[in-house]
Amino acid sequence: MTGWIRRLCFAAGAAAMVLIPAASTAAFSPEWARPYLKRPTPSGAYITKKDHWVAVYKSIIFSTTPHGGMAATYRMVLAPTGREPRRLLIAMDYDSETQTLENPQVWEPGVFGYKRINLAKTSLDFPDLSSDALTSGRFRFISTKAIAPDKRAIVTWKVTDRFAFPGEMLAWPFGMYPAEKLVIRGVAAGGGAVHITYVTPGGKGGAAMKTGPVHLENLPALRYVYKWGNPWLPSRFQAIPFILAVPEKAAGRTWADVSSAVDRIFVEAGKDGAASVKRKADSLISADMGEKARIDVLVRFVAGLAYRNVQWGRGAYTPASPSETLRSMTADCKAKALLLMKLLEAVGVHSNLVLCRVDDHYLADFPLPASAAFNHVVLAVKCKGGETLPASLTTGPGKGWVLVDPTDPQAVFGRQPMGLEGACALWVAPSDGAYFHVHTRQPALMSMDIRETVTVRESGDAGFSLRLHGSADLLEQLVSSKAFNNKDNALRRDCEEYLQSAAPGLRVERAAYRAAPLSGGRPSELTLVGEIPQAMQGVGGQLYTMLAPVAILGRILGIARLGYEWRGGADKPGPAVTVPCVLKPDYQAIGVERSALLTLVFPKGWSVKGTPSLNAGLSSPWLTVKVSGGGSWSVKISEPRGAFHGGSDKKRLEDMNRLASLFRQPILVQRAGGSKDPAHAKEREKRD
Amino acid sequence: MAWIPFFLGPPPPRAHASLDQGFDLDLVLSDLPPDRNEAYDPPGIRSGFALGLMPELISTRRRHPYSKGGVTKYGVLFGAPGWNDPAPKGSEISDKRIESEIDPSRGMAALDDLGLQVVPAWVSTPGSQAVMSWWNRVLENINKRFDKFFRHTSKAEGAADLDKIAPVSLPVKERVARLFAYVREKIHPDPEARTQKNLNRLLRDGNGGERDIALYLIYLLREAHIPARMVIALSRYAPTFQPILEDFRPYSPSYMVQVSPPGKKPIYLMPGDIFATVQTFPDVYLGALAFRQPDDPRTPWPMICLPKNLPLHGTTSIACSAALPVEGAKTPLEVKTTLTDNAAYDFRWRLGLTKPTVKGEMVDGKVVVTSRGKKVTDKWDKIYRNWMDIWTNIKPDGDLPRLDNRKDVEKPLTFAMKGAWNPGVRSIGPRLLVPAFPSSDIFTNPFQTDRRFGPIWWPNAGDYEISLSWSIPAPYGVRQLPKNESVKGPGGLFYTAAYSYTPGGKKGTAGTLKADLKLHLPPMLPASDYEAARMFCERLQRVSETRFLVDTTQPETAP
Repeated sequence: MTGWIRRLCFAAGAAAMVLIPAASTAAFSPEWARPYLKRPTPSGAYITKKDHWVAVYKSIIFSTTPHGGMAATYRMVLAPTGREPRRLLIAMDYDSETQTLENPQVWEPGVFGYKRINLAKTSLDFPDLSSDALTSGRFRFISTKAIAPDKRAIVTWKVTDRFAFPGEMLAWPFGMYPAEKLVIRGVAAGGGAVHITYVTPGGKGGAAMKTGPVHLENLPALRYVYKWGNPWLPSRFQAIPFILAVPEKAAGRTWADVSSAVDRIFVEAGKDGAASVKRKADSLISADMGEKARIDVLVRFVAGLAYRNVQWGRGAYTPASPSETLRSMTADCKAKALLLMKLLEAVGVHSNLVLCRVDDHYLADFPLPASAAFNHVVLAVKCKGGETLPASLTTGPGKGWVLVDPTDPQAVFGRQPMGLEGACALWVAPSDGAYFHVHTRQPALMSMDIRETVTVRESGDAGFSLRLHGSADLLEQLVSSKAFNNKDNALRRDCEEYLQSAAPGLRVERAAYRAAPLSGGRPSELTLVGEIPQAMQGVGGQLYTMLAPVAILGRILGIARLGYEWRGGADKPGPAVTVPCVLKPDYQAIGVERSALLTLVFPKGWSVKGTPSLNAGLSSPWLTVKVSGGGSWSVKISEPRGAFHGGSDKKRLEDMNRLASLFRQPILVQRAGGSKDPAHAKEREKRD
Repeated sequence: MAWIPFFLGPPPPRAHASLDQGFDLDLVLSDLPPDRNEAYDPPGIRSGFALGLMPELISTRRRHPYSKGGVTKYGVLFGAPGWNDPAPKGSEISDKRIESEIDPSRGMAALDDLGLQVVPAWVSTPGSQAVMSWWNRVLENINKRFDKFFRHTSKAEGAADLDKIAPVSLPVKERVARLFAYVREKIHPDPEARTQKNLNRLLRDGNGGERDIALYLIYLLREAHIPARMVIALSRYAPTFQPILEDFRPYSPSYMVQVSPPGKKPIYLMPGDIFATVQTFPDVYLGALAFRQPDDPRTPWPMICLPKNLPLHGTTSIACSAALPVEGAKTPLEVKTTLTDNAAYDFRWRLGLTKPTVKGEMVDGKVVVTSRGKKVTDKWDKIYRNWMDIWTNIKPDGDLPRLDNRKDVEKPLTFAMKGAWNPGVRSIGPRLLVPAFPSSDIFTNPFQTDRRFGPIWWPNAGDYEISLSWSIPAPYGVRQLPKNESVKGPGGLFYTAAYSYTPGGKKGTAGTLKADLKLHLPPMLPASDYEAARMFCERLQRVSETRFLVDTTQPETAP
C-alpha cells in the first residue's frame, strides 16, 4: 500500500515538474494584472533617474459599503526602471480609526511564475508621522526581494470605511511612483453606485470638474509635482488634481447637507453629561458677572485644558462627550469646541460650531461640498455687543457673532483666532448650514511688537531692557521648552542663549513673563533686562559702530541673520507633468506683522550718525517694510495673508534677503570730542 | 540567538544590572544626566552611555575567547575581565544569575578630561590575554608579514643608494622628508591595490596599499639607520576601542610610521595615504589610542596613546577681493582659497577618490557622463558651493573648479571662485560704511550656554588666514582705520586682526583697503577652559562685524 502511495506521489510530482515550467509567467498572478506583465518597461520624460520603479498599470476602484460608507481597491503592476534588480517598497495608506485595511497582497516573481509573498514576514505597520498633528493615519510598509528588470511586482489592497460618515473618499492621481496608466472608476456594490468627480485646479475661473471614470497617463511621482519645501505653495487641493468619490445617492449634496451630517455627530456626542457641564459652569461663574465676563471665564477654562493634537478628519470625526472631557481634562479641537458650546449653553449663551481649515499651505476655496475641506473646529458665540469686538464675523450666517478658538491655549474672548482670516469655513447647523469665508472685523495676524532701550556707557558696554509681546518665535520656543516654570533660572538662561548669537557675550540679568490676563486687553509679555559687553566697535577716531541692538531685534523678530535660501527645489526643472496643476507659489498662508522700536541713550555729547536703512526698495507688494531713523529707530514689517500678485518666488526671496540685511547693519555713533578711549573709561568705571 | 550586552564607551555611574545565562538583562540606571548636546563635543557614541548589543552568533561562529577558559561573556557588561569580575565561572554559568552594581572605574573603556580614550588599565592584567587574543593574533600576523615582506629585497635600495637619496650629512628631519618623498615617487599609493607578498613585488608593480608603502618606508629608514616602526592609530572620532568588537574597521585605523630619531621627538608619517604629505598628521589621530609595533617581534603589540600636542601643519587661506560698489549694490567677490598640508589633505579627501569624469562613456562619438559620473560631479559641485557658502555666504557664479585632487599632492591646493555679493554698503553723509570681512557663519560664537560639562573638540583645527581686499576707486579714500587687535585664548587659541590702506596712485588708480584675520584653533580643550574659549569666540564674532569708513572725497592724509 505504501508503495502505491509513493508511486502516486511520484507521478503527481513528475506531472507538476513537466506542467509548471510550461505554464506562462502569469501563473498564480491575479487575472487583472496579466495583460500588464509582458508589457515593456515604460519610459518617458515623466520618469526621472531617481524613480527606481514605475507603475505600468494602476487603478483605484471605488465602491460603497452596505452601511453607507465607501471603499477603495488599489491595484498596481510595477516595473523596475534600471538595469539592475531592485527591491520594491510599497506604503499602503489607511486610517486605523475609521477604516480597515483589507486583503493586502503582493506578488513577486518566483521559480514557476508569480508567487504571493508572506506579508507576516515582510510588512510593517507604522504610524503616519508626516503631520504635526497626531492622527490615526497609518502606513503598511511592504518590501519584496530584489526583482529583475524584466519582471514585475503586483500589488493590491483595499481600504474600507467603518462608518457611514463622512461618506466620501479622496484620492490623488500622483503617488509614490510614476504611473504609465491610471484608471479610477466606481463599481456598484452593497450601498449602490458610486459618483466620481475629478477636480482639476483652475486659474481665474476656478477649478474644473468632470464626473465619471478617470483615465490618465504618464504621471510623475508626487514628490516632483508638489514640493513640500516651498513655503508659498497653495494647498494641495488647490494645486494638483484630486478625485472625490461619494455614493451616487449623495451626488447632488450641498454644503447644507454636509453641515447637517456634521451637526448630527456633534448633537449625538453632546447628549451626554448635561448635569456635569451645568455643575462645572456654575462653579466657574458667579452671579454678578456680566455676559462677556462669563463667556471669557468659560473660554479660558476650556482653552486651558490640555490639548490632544487630533485634527478634524483622519479618524477624528467624533468628538469626546463633554462629560468625558471634564473627566480627563484633555481634549482635541472638536471636544474643546463641543464642551465650550455646552458650557455656554448652560449659562444661557448661544454659540455655533464652525468647521474651518488651518494649514501652512493656503487654501482659498474648496470647489465642491465635502467634509475633507476642513481640518479644525472653532466656535462662533453670540453675545450682546459682540459685533464691536475685533473677532466679530463680518461674513457668513454668523455675521456679528464672535469667533473663538478654544484650542489656542492663549485664547482670549474677543481677540481674533490666529490663522483663520480668509479661510474657508462651514457653519454647522441642522438644516441651514452654509459655506463661507472667515472675515473678522479686525483681521487677525501673527503679530509681535518689541520695545528695546539701550543705554550706552562711556566704556562701550551697554545696558538693555526689552519688552516683547505677541507671537514671536522666542515666546513659542520658551513655551515649548517649559522655561516658564522658571525653575533653575531656566527662563533667564534660555533667553540669554537665544540672544547670544545676535549679541556675543550678552547677559540677561532679569527675565519676566506675564501671561495674558483672563479679562483680555493685552497679550502675553516678556521683559528682559541685561548687559551687552563691548557693544561698540571702533571704525577709527571717535566713530564707532554698534550692531548688537539691531541684531537683537532681528533675532527676536525671527529674521534669519545671514539671509534666506530657497529650499523649494524649483531651481531644477522637474519631470514633465501631463495633467494640469497650479504650482505657482503665490500664497502667504499666515499673515505676519512685526514691529520694533529701539531707543538709544548715550552719554552726553555723543550722537547717532547713521541708522540701518533699506538700501533699495522692495520689488513686490507682498512685503512692506517701514524704517525710520534718528535718536530712536523703528521698523514695521507686514506680510499680509492670502494670495499675492505680481511677485515670483525669487522676488520674494530677494526681498526677504534685503530685509535680513537691514538687521546686519550697525548704528554709527560719534563719541564726544573729549571722550576717553573705551578701554580707559572701562578701567575708570571699574574703579568707581 | 542571544544578545550580549556591553557598554560601548565608559559605563554610566549608578548602574545596576542583573543578567542570566540567556542574557536576559535588567538594567537600572539612576539619576542619568540629560543629553546635553553641547557645541563641538566629542561624538556621542564615545561620551554618551551607549549600550551595545552583540549578537552571540558572532562569538559562536568564531569561538569567541570569552566562551573559553573560565572567562565568560557576562563579564563585559560588569567590567573588564581580570578585574575580579563577578561573572560565574565554568559550571556555575548554567544556573546562576549575576546581579551587581556596575563600577565605572572598572569599565572596558575610560576617557580623560579631553574625552580621549586612555590605555585601559586592564590591558596589563593577566585576564586581558583572553580578551585581546584576537587582536594579538592579528597583530602577530603583521609581525610575521614583516619577515616575509623583507625576505625578498634584492630590488630594494642599499646603503649606498640611501646615502645618495638622504645623505647622512643632512639633519635627520630633512633625511626623513627626502625618504618620504622618494617612497611616494617610487610607489604610487592606491587604496584599491592588493597586498603584496614582498618588497620586490611592490617595487615591480609601482603602486601599493597603505600598509605596504608604510613597510617600504620603514625598510628604507632602518637601512638609513633611522629608528622607525609601524603604529596603527585608531581615530578619536570612532567609537572607543572595545576588544569585544573584533574588527579594525569600526575604529577607522591608519597605518603610520613612527620615526624616533635619538634624542628627538617622534615624527609620525602616513606614507601610504594618497593625499598625505610629509607634514600631514590628521587631527583625528591626535591623542588617539594606537597599537605600536614591538621591538621584540615575539611580544604583543603594546597599546599607546599618540601625543596630544603634535604640531598640526597646514593653513586655510581665504583671500577675498572686491571692488567697492555703490550703496546697496552687488559687487563680484573673488575668493581665492589656498590650502596647505592638513587643510589640503582634508579638502582632497572631501572631494574623494573618484573623479567626476571617470565614469564617462563614448556615445555617438561624444563623451557622455554616466549617472555615476554625474553623481560625482554633483557631489564635487556641492562641496565647492558649500565651501563658498561657509566662508562668504554667497553662491558661486560661473564654472566651478575642476582640479584633479590626486595631482601635486605635495603642493598647496589652490582654487578660486567668484560670486555676486551684496556687502550692504551704506552711505552716511559723505562717507560709506563698508564691512571689513565677508558675512559668514564661521565667525558666530558657537558657545552660548553659561556652563559646559564636556571637553571641546574643535572641528577642523589649525591655522586660518582670512582677508578681504577692497579696491577703492579714486577719488575715494580712507582717513581712519579700526585698531589692530590681537587676542589669545587657552590651548593656543589666538587671532590677530589687522587693517591697512594703500592709497591709489596719482593717476587715479584704485587704492586698496584690506582686513587680515589670522586665527588658530586648537584641536581640543578641556571643559575647564570653556569660559575663556567662550569669551574668545565672543570677541571673534565682534571682530567679524568690524566696518571700514570710506570717504567719498580724497582725504589729504592716509591713516
